[in-house]
Amino acid sequence: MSVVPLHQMCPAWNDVLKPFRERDYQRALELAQAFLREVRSDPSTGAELEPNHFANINYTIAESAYGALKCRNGWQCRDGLALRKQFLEAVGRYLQITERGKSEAPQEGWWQVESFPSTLLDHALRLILEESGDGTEEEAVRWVCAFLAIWPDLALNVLLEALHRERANVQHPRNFFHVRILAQVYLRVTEDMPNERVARARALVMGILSDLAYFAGVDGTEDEALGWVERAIEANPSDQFARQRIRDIQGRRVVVEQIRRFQHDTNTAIAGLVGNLSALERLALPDPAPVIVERMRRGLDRIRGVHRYVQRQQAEFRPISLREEIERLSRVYPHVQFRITGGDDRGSFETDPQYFQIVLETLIQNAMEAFERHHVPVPDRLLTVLFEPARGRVTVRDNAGGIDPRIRKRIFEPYVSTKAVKQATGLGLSNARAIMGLLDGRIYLAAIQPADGSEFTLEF
Amino acid sequence: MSEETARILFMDDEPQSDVVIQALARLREGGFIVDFVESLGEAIEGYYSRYYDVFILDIDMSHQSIDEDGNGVEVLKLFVSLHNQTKVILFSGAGTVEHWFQAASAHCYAYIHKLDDDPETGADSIGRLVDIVQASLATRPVPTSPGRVAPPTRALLVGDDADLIMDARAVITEALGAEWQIVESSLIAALDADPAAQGVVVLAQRRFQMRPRVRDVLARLLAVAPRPQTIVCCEGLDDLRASILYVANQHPFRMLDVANPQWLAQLGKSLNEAHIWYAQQEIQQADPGAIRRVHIVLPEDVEEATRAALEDMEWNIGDDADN
Repeated sequence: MSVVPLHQMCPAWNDVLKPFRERDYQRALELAQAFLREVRSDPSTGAELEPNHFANINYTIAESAYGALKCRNGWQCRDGLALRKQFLEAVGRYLQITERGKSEAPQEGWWQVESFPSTLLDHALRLILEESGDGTEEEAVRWVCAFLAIWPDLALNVLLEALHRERANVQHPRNFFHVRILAQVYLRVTEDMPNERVARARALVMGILSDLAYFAGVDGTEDEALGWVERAIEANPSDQFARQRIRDIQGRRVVVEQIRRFQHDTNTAIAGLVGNLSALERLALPDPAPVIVERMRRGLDRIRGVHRYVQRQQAEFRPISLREEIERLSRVYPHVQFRITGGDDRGSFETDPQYFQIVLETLIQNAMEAFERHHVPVPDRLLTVLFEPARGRVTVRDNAGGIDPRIRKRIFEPYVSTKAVKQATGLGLSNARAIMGLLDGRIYLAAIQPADGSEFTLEF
Repeated sequence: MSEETARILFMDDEPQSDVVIQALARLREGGFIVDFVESLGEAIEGYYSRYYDVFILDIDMSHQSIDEDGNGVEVLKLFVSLHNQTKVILFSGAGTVEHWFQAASAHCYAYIHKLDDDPETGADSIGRLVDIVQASLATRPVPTSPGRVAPPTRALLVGDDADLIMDARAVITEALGAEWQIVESSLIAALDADPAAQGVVVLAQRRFQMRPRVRDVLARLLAVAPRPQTIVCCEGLDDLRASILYVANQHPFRMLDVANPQWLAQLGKSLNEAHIWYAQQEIQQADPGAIRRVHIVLPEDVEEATRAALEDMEWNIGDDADN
């Protein structure tokens, strides 16, 4: 083998290296191909060159073609297919030359240098994946096997690196498929390798396939995920991650099923209550049954709203009349006087009635509790609702004594309460704020608070 | 059949639940004849035993005493495979995101969650059920066009999420060909579009707000099917049940979950199917195995000889035919 570098044996090679180093890959490709044709046609020069020189030339051709492809945004460009073909042909020639080199000097030789084949296999895999189609897996297996025959460890390492790279962006559909293809390729090419290190890597790859199946999250994929983890344990019985994964998937299954059953049962029970109440409302009931039924309806709507909020169900907007809403509320809270003011309080506005009811009732209940705490006589208790439809705003003001200035800034934080600890969870206003978020709106404490009470603004 | 004598088959495995009792009562009050069954097998048998104007099916049938595989969505698929304009309303307190998408793509007439009020009127789920049964009876069967009708090579692509629109555009071009003209529109601007002049309509939007204006857009774009077919792509999340089922109730040709990593591949396939079924009602792929399991109940007045001949008949359907 000649240790003399190619550019010293043939100074013309420098003309190729210059554009290659300057990343003018199209020019480098043309010059490298011309150089190869020339040395092949010139017996004297050709005879002087060693296999490692030819390997070098083909590496440069392959990488120039790859570089040109990348500069043009992939193989789908006008001459993309031709460049792809030139790349793969040069890689093929490179492999033939190195295979011969290995057979001539199996223990040590120039063919053992790993940087070139690492790059070539990595780029070959990228190109094959870019053109994903029915035959992608087969093509990838073919190329990996060709590298594997010469550099077994290198080929598997490059394959695993490519797998991890694609896995890092698995949220994108293309990368998702690439991971699946590369994982399948890995399992196929290592199927008959008894090596313990490979067995561990196979278990790892099966774990990745299990994650992929689980990640897909469609019907039946949990079974597929479990299947892969079970295979991973067969491949590597000491794989503790796989054992934990099985426990996790099975545990999650139980929890999901329990939640599903619970939701089914509560949904059916609530729907039954709604149905029964609707049936009652259609009957001509003697007094005071209609009032009781109305209170039950209000309570049930609140339960339904809370049930939806706990599941963070999206808001369902429809026009409601604020006056009618407040009038209904005033019947439920007889110990407070309601006053509606505003330019157009008879108009309607768009909201989710159940969510709006929770927010409004949170404010009313807080006010009611404050009236009690501050011993405000019933005839003096007043709740004023200012409706400004043009600004999408509702203001609720009470005369229940106001909020302690020390906690005003934190009033919407969870577990903050003005009441005695045993009387409150401190979640009411925090939930009201979250619900206003679901309504694409917000709730805040007015900057200037009334002297004798509190004022909240709801913006829709 | 007149509305007064319309016959409904109602399948639910919890006959004692209040919501089922009330629903049956309201339907019967409404003048419908309602046959009630508790199992999937009885529902399938019912399909063959007499004509039903509407089927109301529960999804989760885990309470049924008979050990049968499947759920209401499976029965829906079977019924639509047997006749493509069978009206099936799914009425369920359970169901998963997958069920919602599968039911929409299998052409359920409606999917009512037992807990959900009507987004427009506020009517409770039983009231909605009665309204939808009445609406289904008023809906005439859509005659299938004789022969294939070539769709105009125009696609309307609607949505506000730039990344989804870009992905969907690439898939439309790949699936239908570069000669197709793709017109993009934001969701609200689609109110001014002319969906009927398109070869296909694709809505790609992660989530639809349940505001009246958005509902108007959805109703308008989906009302044109089957000429053209409309494919809706959105996120399949539990908390979006209201909007997902709203879309399902507008009769999309396909409904795809963009959270599924395979949604673009599914979109490509759906576009080809939408192209094939342009101006026609789709016939779902029949499940011969399911058909074969059906025990057909013969009317009482069938002659004994005919009955014996039918009972002895070999049913050479599907894989078992080779055995």
